[in-house]
Amino acid sequence: MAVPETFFNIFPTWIGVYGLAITMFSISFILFYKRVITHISNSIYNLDFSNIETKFKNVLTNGLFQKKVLQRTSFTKDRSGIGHVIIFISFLSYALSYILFIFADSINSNFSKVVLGTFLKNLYLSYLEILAILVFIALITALIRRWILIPNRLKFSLTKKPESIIIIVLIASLMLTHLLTESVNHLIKPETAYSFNFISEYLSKPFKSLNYDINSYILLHDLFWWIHLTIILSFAVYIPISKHLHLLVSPMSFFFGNTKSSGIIDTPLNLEEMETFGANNLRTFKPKQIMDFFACAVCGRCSEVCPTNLTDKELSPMHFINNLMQSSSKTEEDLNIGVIDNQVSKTEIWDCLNCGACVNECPVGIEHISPIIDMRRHLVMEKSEMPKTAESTLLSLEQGGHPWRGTTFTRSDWHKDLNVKTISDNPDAEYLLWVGCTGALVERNQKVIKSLVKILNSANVNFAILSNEETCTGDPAKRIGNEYLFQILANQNIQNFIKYDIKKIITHCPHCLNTIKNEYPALGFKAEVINYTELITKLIDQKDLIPTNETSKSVSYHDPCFLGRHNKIYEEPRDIVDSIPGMKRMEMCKNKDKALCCGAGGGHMWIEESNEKRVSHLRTDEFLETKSDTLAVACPFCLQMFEEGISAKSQSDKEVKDIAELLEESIEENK
Amino acid sequence: MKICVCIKEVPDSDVPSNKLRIDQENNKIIPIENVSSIVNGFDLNAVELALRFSENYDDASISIISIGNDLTSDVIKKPLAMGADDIITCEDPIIDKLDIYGISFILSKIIEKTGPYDIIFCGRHASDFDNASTPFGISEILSIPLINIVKNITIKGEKLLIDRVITDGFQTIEADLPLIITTGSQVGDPRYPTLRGIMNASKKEIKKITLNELGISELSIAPKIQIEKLYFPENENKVEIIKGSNNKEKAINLLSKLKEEGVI
Repeated sequence: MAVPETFFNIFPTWIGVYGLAITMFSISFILFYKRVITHISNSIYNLDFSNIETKFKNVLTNGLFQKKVLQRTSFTKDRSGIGHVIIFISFLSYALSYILFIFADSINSNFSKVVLGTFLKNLYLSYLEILAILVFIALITALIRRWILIPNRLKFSLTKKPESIIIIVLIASLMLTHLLTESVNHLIKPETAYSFNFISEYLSKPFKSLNYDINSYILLHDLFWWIHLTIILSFAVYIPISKHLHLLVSPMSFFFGNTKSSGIIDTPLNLEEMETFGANNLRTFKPKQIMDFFACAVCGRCSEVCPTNLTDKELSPMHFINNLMQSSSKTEEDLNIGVIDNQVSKTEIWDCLNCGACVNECPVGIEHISPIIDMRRHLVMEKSEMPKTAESTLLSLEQGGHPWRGTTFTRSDWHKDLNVKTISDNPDAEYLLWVGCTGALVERNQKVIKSLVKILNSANVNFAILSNEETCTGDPAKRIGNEYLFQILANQNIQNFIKYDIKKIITHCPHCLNTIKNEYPALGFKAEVINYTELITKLIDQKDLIPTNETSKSVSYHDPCFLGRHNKIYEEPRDIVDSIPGMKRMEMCKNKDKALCCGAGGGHMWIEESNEKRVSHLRTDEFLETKSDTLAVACPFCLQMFEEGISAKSQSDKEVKDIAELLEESIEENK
Repeated sequence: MKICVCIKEVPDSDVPSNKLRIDQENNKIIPIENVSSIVNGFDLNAVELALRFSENYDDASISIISIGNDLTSDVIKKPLAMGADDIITCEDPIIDKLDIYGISFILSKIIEKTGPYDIIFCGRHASDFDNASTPFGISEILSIPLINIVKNITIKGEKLLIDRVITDGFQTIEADLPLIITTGSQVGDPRYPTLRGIMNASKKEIKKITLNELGISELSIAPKIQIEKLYFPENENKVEIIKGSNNKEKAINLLSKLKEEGVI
């Protein structure tokens, strides 16, 4: 990278370099400011700088070290992550080289040599040449993947924007002009040639055979050099107006991203003073949400795994985020009209199951659930527009404190004949067993809770229940968008927890776990909240529970989204299955953090799906593929969804059981 | 356009009926622990129709009237959250013991005192005792015509066109104001209050009127009707499974059983 002495004898190189750079970077900055920064600063919400340490860590691991880009990379199945990393490393390496070899050397041509020393400089230059070749390979692979092989996630037309080709051509021409400049440089200054820059040396041969005089070679070198510089700077202008914007915005998205569990939905504490509820335009979205709209690189990873997209519903997270980004191009007045019914439909907003599969896959840190919930909040609290089934659920929560409208049970019915004490009868209990509305009020789920109680009793766990004093955690209200109702219900429970001085809570339902453990702290309540599978695993390890009854059942365990993806509990339920003598555990094609939702998240236990193709049936098919006898679950909603799925598929020899039921069968006496 | 809607606070009708208990001595339903009360469903339909009707007038105001003993303010304020303007109540322990005449009489007096209203909406009946007679009582006492089970109201010049539900269809009636309208579920679901509505409602004061202020003496509303006995119907579920080795035998056994019982 030898700097030309002048710009074709017109003016000194440094004037050209800095003149062009200042112009192009200014244009780039203005475009970036207008497109992104103005919207972020126009938001009525402030940026959140809490947990700053975790924020920097997220940027480092996911931005610099590309953790999420590489999380699904495998040499046999998906190599795209490797290609991205090569291009990313090249970007950083070339960016550094430009600072040294262009911006510094154009002022003093010896700068880089002095700073690095001849050996290091030559090594760096050779490294750049090798990178250039690797980038070519990565780009060709990208072209083949995108337009010939076309894996599932690149089948969306949105992933084939012309931008992708423009970017590939720009990067390729950068690499090409770099190699050409270096090749011709060999013929101008053979004395500077070094032993390991074999690529440019090899490429210099055809130029040498032209037998030009030295001045022609200098002209050719300078021409390539200036073209290269122009392409770099054009790239800087192209970034803010293309999907390459993710390069600037995704580090911001990671920085301002969720630093706790992905299951957390924010809890605004000043509802009474808020000028507007939820979000419907760029002013009412939160800064982090706006960053997310611009961070999207339309890679298709989210939509490929989204259960609603897999069942042909309107919602496809990539298109949804991209459409919200489009709203930024509106004029000031149009911005007030709102995105709902213009950029995105209500059906899309209500389709979401909050399963978090999209968030988990996104390589640029987009949190898709958050704007969806804010738009639901707008629809419910501002407009009172929602599906009838959602409204009916909210009414039931308001009137009865549970979402099961029409239940013939009260919360004390299930434990009438059981040895279980209420917290007022056993105030010294170590644990509060949080039964949950479904466990208490739905006949099928009552059996599960009864099994759990028998297990806890046989291990002599000192626990108690709230019985009729329990109220819904508020999770369905929050997910449906009625934050106000959520806070009323949550505060009722928190008052009870304080009244009975509750320190440890065991939950059965993963949705209750997520709400009490992750969302109640925002309302001022903290306790040790664990899932029953965590406690039982511990009891088995300590030999307080010894499963003895043999079985020959084969079992596939389905990871509930709010236990697995959102709360990272994957191993405990599997350990319990493995502890049962004779039980054979199998895995479904999608498991652990890749598990497909049962279809009941995000309030959809009660909200009707928007088309005929059911998510639960899709997941049931995945279970049936395993040919195992039993589908094991650890969530009351999953249980109901799959029992319906199995019966709809007329598979009467298959069964759905909660982990607690399977374990109880194995420890039950007199069997 | 001055509009009023009469509403009643009732026990949540979603509560399983096997949880209800009766106080045999006083012929009363014992309030169920942990069960909230609600605004009677048909009364909310009346609020919904009143709100829709009011949208035709710039100067419309909707007053809610409710009477009872120990009313729950969060519950009876729901119509305010839906969009009504104010609420007037009369609370007195004696109201619990009144019959239809007494209830209608108090409501009529409140209507007279806070009115006059151009139009009065009531639910067709309340889900607790299903008497379906209070609106008629008000109509009689105030001498205002009543149209029952109304589905929709449209304005035709100075008059109203009122669609009402009849046994096998609908009927459209032309009517003048003032009027009493009763409503059922045919109006459609009552609107779900917005949070703004709920907050506005929570800030509004309930206007309380006493029986004294209405000039009503206990004697004048003494009940003429007494509940003699309040009890659950005895449910007899006698099921007999007719057995047989095949369908033909089962059919023969069923026929002989039916003959034996004198059914055929």
